[in-house]
Amino acid sequence: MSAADERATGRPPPGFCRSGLGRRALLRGLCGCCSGLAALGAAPGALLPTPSQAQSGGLSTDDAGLRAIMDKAEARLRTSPHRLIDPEVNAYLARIACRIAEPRCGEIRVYVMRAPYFNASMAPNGMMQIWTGALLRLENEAQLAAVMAHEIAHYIEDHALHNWRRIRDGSDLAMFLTAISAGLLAPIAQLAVIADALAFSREQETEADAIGLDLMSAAGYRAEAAPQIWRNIEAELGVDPTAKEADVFSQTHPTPPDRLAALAAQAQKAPPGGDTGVEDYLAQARLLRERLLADDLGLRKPDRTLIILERLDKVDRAAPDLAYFRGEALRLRRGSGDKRAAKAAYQQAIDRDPTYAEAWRGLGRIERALGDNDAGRAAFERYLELNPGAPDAAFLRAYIDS
Amino acid sequence: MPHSFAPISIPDRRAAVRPALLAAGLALTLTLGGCATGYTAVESGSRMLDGALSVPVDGPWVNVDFVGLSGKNGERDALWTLDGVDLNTVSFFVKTADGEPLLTSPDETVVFPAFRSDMTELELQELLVDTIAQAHGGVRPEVLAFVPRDFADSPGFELELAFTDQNDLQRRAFIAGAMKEGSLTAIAYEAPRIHYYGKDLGRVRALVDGARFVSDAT
Repeated sequence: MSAADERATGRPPPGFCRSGLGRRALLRGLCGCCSGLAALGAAPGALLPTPSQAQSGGLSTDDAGLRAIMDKAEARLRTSPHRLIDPEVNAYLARIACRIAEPRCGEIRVYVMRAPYFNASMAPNGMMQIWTGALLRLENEAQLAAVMAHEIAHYIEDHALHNWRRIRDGSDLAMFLTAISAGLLAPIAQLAVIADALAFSREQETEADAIGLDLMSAAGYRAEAAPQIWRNIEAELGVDPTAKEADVFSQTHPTPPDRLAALAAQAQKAPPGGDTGVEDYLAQARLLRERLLADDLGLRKPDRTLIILERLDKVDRAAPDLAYFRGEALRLRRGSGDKRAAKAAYQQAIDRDPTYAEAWRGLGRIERALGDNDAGRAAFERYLELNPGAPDAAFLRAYIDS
Repeated sequence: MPHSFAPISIPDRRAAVRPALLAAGLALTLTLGGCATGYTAVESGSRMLDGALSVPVDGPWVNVDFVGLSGKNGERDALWTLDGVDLNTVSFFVKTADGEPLLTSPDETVVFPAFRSDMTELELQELLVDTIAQAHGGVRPEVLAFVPRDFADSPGFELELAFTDQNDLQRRAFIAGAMKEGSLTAIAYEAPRIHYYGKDLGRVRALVDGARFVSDAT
């Protein structure tokens, strides 16, 4: 099967190593495929249950093997250090899932995973993952509901199950079982392998978009929030050429412009009004946002970070963390005029909250960079007053004393 | 991180997935995209790295040969281990020049920050933290300490970090180094927090403390 055929059918070619992620991640420049599968190949199917082990639920008995695989993966994910556990946030997400999926909300479990990329996923056993990069980028509860409703649509329509049956009944099964039996694979990687094998087709994604928008609208959310997500994504991609070059989704997913156009047209036909939920969402987002922004900044794509911050600043006015991270992004960008703009942003963060310690640290750094060592020294002194246990305190004291 | 079942996603997903699989498959710590092709014993005594740094060797270190990516000029300066690359590594970054990243990747979506010869110490800290973050899926490590400390008889730094890798292993690392004549030289030690990090910390510290730039050593 050619790559073109693969794109046309959404079906991977025979053999795990030649399927999407397997080929990309395990063959390109790596020895992971060969050594990994060789090490794992001894016990294909070890995770598959016998029929008596199968659980009842959303999946029929003949698909219980898949459910067992996913349950095992979920058990490992539940204890993953990458899982972000905040009882208030977790309860909030569960409430939204129930509002959308009622009366099937009891089948769905939502996990927040710390990864600074925009992503969400749904497993066929009801395990939903939302990555922190998505939470960072969303502006309100209605947008979050749009993301979750899309995933719930996949679940309700049994998309992953259809793909599993295709694998089970086809020639890819042995390779799939070998891959997912990989005892050496970390849970996250194991989920990645499974997910890639079950990847949705473009048609399934389009269907999930449409059904998801209906679900969120029926739950009382403002439908316009769904296309707005894609407008925001397009704005980010517009300042990041490397992301465009790496657009692997065009192979199996509608492109962002296509999704935006379809969702916008559908949203216009949806009942007007609906909840947006800005304040409720921000109340939760603020609990996590500094960590999420720090991770995003670490990706070293400051133009994208600045787009996100500009958007968030419009809905969460006077937030000191947003001003501080704008200063950080400007400082890292190192463009013409960015030092002075960064100084203004740090100062704005301090104006918003004079006890925001990190803003004083940032101000001290930028003052030094601008040549005003006295101002830098004063800012570092204030920072150390607010955060005497700072891990870099020794360097800062050296700056102060110099 | 996981490849999604139903991505509402932007193209950065590949950037997330790739490090996950790399690290998960090989547990390569700082060696994103690398592939071990051979192992050779490191003889005891004084060892020279890249013709610029000598270190004292007192134990059963194993040099890991890599194909794939890594340090400047496409070649890792050196990667040593005692028990295997997923259990402990010492990485050497010798004379990284202005404009070079500590690691490189064939995947254009993974952007490793570059060293600049005019960096302040705090910027060096960011460089190291974000390099490790990129190598481990994007989550920034926690900085435990960043202190001035001489390295190879030059004014330098030591950075201690904690993070979780893509194998869900909680790891510790310290990186000691210095800028000299416009280039950065550093030694990074990394191991799982439980048992392994502490087990060989003394041995690694002796190695770091005994490091000398060649002009100083001869």
